[in-house]
This record gives sequence, C-alpha cells and structure tokens, in this order.
Amino acid sequence: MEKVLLTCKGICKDFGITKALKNVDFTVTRGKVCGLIGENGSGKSTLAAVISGIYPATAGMMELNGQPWKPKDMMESQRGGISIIVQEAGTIGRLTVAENIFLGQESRFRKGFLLDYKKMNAKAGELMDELGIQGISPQTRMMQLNMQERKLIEIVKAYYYAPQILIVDETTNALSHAERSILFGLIHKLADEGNAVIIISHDIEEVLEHCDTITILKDGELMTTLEQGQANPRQIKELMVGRDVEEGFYRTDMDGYSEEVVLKADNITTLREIMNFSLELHKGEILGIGGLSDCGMHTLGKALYGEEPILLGSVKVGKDDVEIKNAEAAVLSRMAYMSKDRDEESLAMNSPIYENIASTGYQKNKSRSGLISLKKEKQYVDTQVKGLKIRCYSNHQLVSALSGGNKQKVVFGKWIARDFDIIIMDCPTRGVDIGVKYEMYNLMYELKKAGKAILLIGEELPELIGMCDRILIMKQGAVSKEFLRSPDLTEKEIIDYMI
Amino acid sequence: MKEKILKIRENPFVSYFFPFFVMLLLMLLFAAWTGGRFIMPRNLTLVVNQALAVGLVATGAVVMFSTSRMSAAMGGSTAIACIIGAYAFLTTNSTAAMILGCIGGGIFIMLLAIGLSRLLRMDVMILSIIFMTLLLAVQQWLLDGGKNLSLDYAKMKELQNMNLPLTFCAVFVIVCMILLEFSPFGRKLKLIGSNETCSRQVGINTQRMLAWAFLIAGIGVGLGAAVTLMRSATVSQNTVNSMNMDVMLAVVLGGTPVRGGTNAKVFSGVWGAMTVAILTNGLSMVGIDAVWIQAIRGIFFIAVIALSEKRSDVLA
Repeated sequence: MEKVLLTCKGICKDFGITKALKNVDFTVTRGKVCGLIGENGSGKSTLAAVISGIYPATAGMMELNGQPWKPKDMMESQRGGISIIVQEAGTIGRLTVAENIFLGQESRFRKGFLLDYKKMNAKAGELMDELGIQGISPQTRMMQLNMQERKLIEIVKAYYYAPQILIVDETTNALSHAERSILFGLIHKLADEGNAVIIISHDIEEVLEHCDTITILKDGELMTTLEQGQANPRQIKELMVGRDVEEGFYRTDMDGYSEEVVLKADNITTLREIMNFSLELHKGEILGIGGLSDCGMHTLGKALYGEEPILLGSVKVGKDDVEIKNAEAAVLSRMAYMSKDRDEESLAMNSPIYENIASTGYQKNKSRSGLISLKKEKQYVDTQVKGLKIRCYSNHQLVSALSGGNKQKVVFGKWIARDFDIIIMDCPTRGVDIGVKYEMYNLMYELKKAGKAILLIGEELPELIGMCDRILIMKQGAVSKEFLRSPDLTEKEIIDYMI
Repeated sequence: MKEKILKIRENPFVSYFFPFFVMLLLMLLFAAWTGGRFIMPRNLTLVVNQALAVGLVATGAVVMFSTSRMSAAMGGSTAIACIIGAYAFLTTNSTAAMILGCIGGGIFIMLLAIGLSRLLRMDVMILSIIFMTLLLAVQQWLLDGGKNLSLDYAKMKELQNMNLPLTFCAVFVIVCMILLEFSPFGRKLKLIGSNETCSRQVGINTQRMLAWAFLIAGIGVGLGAAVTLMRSATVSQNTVNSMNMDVMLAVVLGGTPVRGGTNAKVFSGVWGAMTVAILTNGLSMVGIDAVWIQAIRGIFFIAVIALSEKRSDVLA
C-alpha cells in the first residue's frame, strides 16, 4: 500500500479580496513525483508556499507523516523535512555561495566564538560535487553569479537539508538543458530513496515525462489529479485553460521579412561573454537567438540595448545609423527590452500595476500642458490589463502580490503598450501558462506583420523554431550556426551546434 | 467587510489624505486636553508659523526621498544656507540678496551631496552622515567660533508682514505637487525610487533626474533657511538644530515611505510639518518637559516607521 507523506485538507488562502486557494485537498505519497500545473494565478505557487511555511493558510489543515503540519516559516519547514526552490531569487546576493547554502545552519561550523569558513566552504564544495555542479567556487558572492547559477545553488541548498518533500516551483524555465539534468537527477534520486517531490511547471511535456501524478488547479480550485498513463498533453491543456489550444500554437506562415535593416551590430565585443559578434535585424523579422544559458545570448540582448558596455564595435539602428550607447538612446530610437531577470530589472515590485505599465508612456500620455493626461494614461494601462487578461482586482494592486505569470504579463504589457519598432525579448514567455503563451505568440506575429522587428532570445528551442524567421545559435559568445525558417527544422539539428 | 476595508485602504485618495486626518485628530486631542486653549487663533497662527520652515525643507526632502535617497544632513544644510543668506544680507543690506543667498547655498550643498555620492559611489545616506559632522564644523568656522549674526529685525518683520513665508511655502508646495504628481518628471523620479534598473531600462537618464531632484531639495532647504531668518532675524550655532529630526519626522508622518518610490506624496511635507508642530506645541502646552517632548517625538518616529513598514508588508 502507498504511504501518504503529506495530506492537505480544505486549504484556503486569501490575499485581501483575492481568494488564491479555495478548499484544496492535496496528497503527496512517498516515492512519487507529483506535478502541479495550472494557468497563471491558478494557485500553484500559493499552495506550495502554504505547504512550505511561506504563507499561513487562511483555513484548512495539513498533516505530515500523520502529525499536524503548520510550519511558521521556511526555516521551520526545512527543519521539518519540506524544502522549496522558489520561482524567483531565493538567495542573498551579498553572501557567498557557501553562506547561502548553510544559511540558518551556521552553528554547525562554529569554532569557539568564530565560524570555521574553511570547513563551511569545503562542505559546500563537497555538496556541489555530489550534484555534478562545476565551475562555481563556494567563496564567490551570489551577486557575481548569473540567474542559472543562482538557481543551482538553491538546488544544492535544498539537497543539503535532505528533504522528505522537495518542492520545485517553476525552476526549470530558468535553467539550461545541462542544469535541468542536474535538477531532474536530484528529483529522481529523492523519489527513489522514498521521499517525494512536487514539481510546479508550465512545461507539460516535462511534467508528463517526470511526474507520477499530475494535479491540475484552476482559479484556486483543484480540477483533478491524473496518473501518468492517463494523461495526454492536449487533455491537460484543455483542463488548464478551459478550451482546446492544441491547434495553431505557433505561427505557420513562411511570410519572410523586409530587406530593410533596422538594427545592426558590427563586430561587438563586451567585457563579458561576447566576442566580435555581428548581426542584422530586419524590418518585420523575428530573429531568434538560442544556445546554452552561458553562451552569451542574455548579455547580447543587454549589449544591443546599451545596457552592457561595448568595448569594441558598435550597435546602430534605423536609417540614420544612430549609435546605441545606453538605454536612453535605445528608447529614443524606438527600441524596447524585456529583461529575463523580471523581478530585479523589469518591474518595480512594490509599485502598482498601473505605475509599471504607465512607465513606458510618460511622453506619449502627455497633454498639451506638458503634464500627464490621467485619462489617456488610464486608457493606456487599461488596454493592456484587459488585453493580456492580467488577473488583479484593481490596477492599483501591487505587482508583488501577483502570480509569476501575471507579473510577466505586466512586463509584456508595459512594452507592448508603446508602439516600439524594435523589441528585444529575453525569454518573454518564462513562467507564462499555455493559454497566455498562445496569446503572446499571436501578438508577436501581429507585431511582425505590422513591420516591427523582434529579437527573440530563448532557451526553448520549440519556441524559436516555431516563431522565428531566422535563428542564430550561439556558442561561447559567437555565432556557431544560422538556421532559416523551415518546416523541417528539428531541435536535434540545432542542439548539435549548441554543445 | 474585510474586502471593503482593503479597497478603502488601497484607494490612492485615502492614502493621500489619511495623514491629514491624523493631523486633525491630534489637533482635536490637544484641544480637548488643554480645554480649548490649543485651538485659539493666536496659538494656531503660532503652530502654522512654526511649521513653515520645516514644511519647506520637508517638501523638498519628499522630492529627494521619492528617488529612494535619504539625507540626514537636511538640518546642517539649512543652517549653512542660513549663514550664507545672513552674510549676503549683511554685505548688501538687501533682503533679495539674502533670499537668493539662502537658495544658492541650499542648492550648492545638495548638488555637492549627490555629485560626491556619484563620484565616490557612496550611498547618499552614508555621505549625509559624514556631511552632518562636516557641516557643523563649517557652521562653526563661518560663525567665527560661535558668534551670533544679527540681522535688521525691522526689515525681517516687514517681510513677515508681507506674508512672504506663507507665500513661499504655498508656491513651493504647489509647484512641487504639480511636478511630482502630474508631470512625467515626477513620475520618473518615483520610478527611480521604486527600481532604478527598471527605470533606466525604460529610458530614464537616472543621473540627470537625481541631480534635478537634489536641486529641488536644495531650493526647499534655501527657502526654509530664508523663512527661518525672517522669523528669527539672527543666526547662531543653535539655529535650526532640531530641523533634521523635524524634517525626517514630518516626511514619515506625512505618509511618504522611507524607501521612497511611487508612494511618495508631496503633501507629506506640509501635513507632516504641521503634525510635528502640533505635537511639539501641544505637548509643551500641557506642561510636558522639553526633554520628554524630544523623547516622545523619537518614539513617535520609530512607531510610524514600524507601522508604515508593517503596512507595506501586509499589502505585499
């Protein structure tokens, strides 16, 4: 008989007037990997947060190993046997890798009144070696690592606590293929040892491949739980979104693009990662940039937008060849940039949705007096909130209170609201559910048809293959191969040039 | 019921005017405590007069705070601006020169602060703590080791009779309100305070904007110094010695969060300054010792900061 590890009964969670969870019953069994999926704002992350002590439940009860489970915070949850790898940054930038891994457990390394950092660093190195993580020193400060590396450290931290239940909240979309294998290696190791794992993901194929059971949430309610063999992707998508979204997910045309070059990078070299890189982006083109996470594609996006200092070469836009040296010049040249690091760079988290979206339209929404026309601005914001179906009870709701996918929609809305000609999108659909992804892809295609140029930086190869007119694959800061849009192009062909 | 309360709390209008109601409540409390003496016209005029200089400096400070930059040297800066204005008057015997001297001094010190902060890559708050000591030394040096500078009282009284302090305050607050609440300029400042990287990426020249914010704060300091000279007609080592605490308390009591951002409100300066003046004057009228008044103000400051942080956490 299967042994139940965790039972949640009638869990409710309210955030003010938002009911994030409504009477959710959820069970986790020993030795199983449970998938938790649903649209943005369906309550997946909230349920994970309640289980791991980040938020207290408004109502309902939980039992872990048959005992009442009501952790006061994440630390108590970790000590009790439940660890979580959160969706966004879960580490402290100014501390070292080792200090982050052993946060709250420093007493283990006490040597008199002092801490034995040598021992702490050695133990951190040992843990990283066990998980196959290479190239990160335990003494490096977290702020010096990129997003993927920071996520790896969170995985090590979770592993260190030897959890009975590990919750992985939308972590894989921040990881490259190699890093994903490290994570899934750990997941299956824990399950094989009789523990359990809860995976929250928007990648249905990934969930189907790795999970024994799949629980679907919608609008804070549990829809159903399926066994691995019972489910197929189409059925899951329908249960999540409430309609059939299988057809027409990506664009199917072979329209091509104009010959007019709107952005040109000429032999650029940056301090980090990029070496003698050149590209031309055309009017009405979706140009994809792909590769492993450390290939330099994210730095390239920043360099093209003037956010990364260029040591050699130049980035020029438009017919007048305006040189882009900073973000101010880029915006004046009608360029937009959606950063991958959403919470740190793209959003003012403690500001309302209204202020975030309005931030790109200060000039556009000016009245004749030079002041902001509140009527115009409200319309500017409302159009995006309604168009992108951002789940909120008011435009004045703080962005920090939104779910991950809805935050991403705010970023998307902020840049789409203004009529920019060149849009650099760095992983724009990260953490976004299938229904919204579909709408975003449609919107990208509409922008392309309207003559806008899009540079799509992505770690999802199906997205690049499905949406781009051309794909540049990067390896060690340079282009390793260019692919043209073709119905026959496969992931396998591309992967060969990534590694 | 809970939903209604939340909606009311998140209504921007309510959050804007809430500190005003706190101020009224405090006023009614002291009115009851002093048997109505507190709200006698003469005393209320005194409270308003006490609040004007703090209100001016605090309004400028709100503009600066909105960018998430805090200064602990607003008092020291005002004192130096007072001395510069006083010397300008003593040299030229012109009240216009005095006012311009004060404003020039205020702007110079504030621009120096932001300039050095950029040059040395140092946080404004840390730099302002160093400035506090430095400005005190400069103040002593300018006053030649502690002598008083006396101005022509009749001329200062004339300026007061022209209602210049109140006019300065009204004009400055209205201009700042238009700039901060309704113009792209102010919205950009608040966005910088909310997330500097994010604001840079939407094309805002953050360094230029910060310089403008500090310039406006400098004008506030200058006008506050000019009003102080008009009221006291003298400058000494003790001039505006409680300004630092008063300004910080006013900004926070007025509802601007210490971390700045989109919740910064221009009226915070005025309502906060009024609340501080009501608190000081009211406590004094009910016979509380000056030392205890300082202690109560300190406790008030900590309580308001703790409450405002708690409120942010709940909302987040």
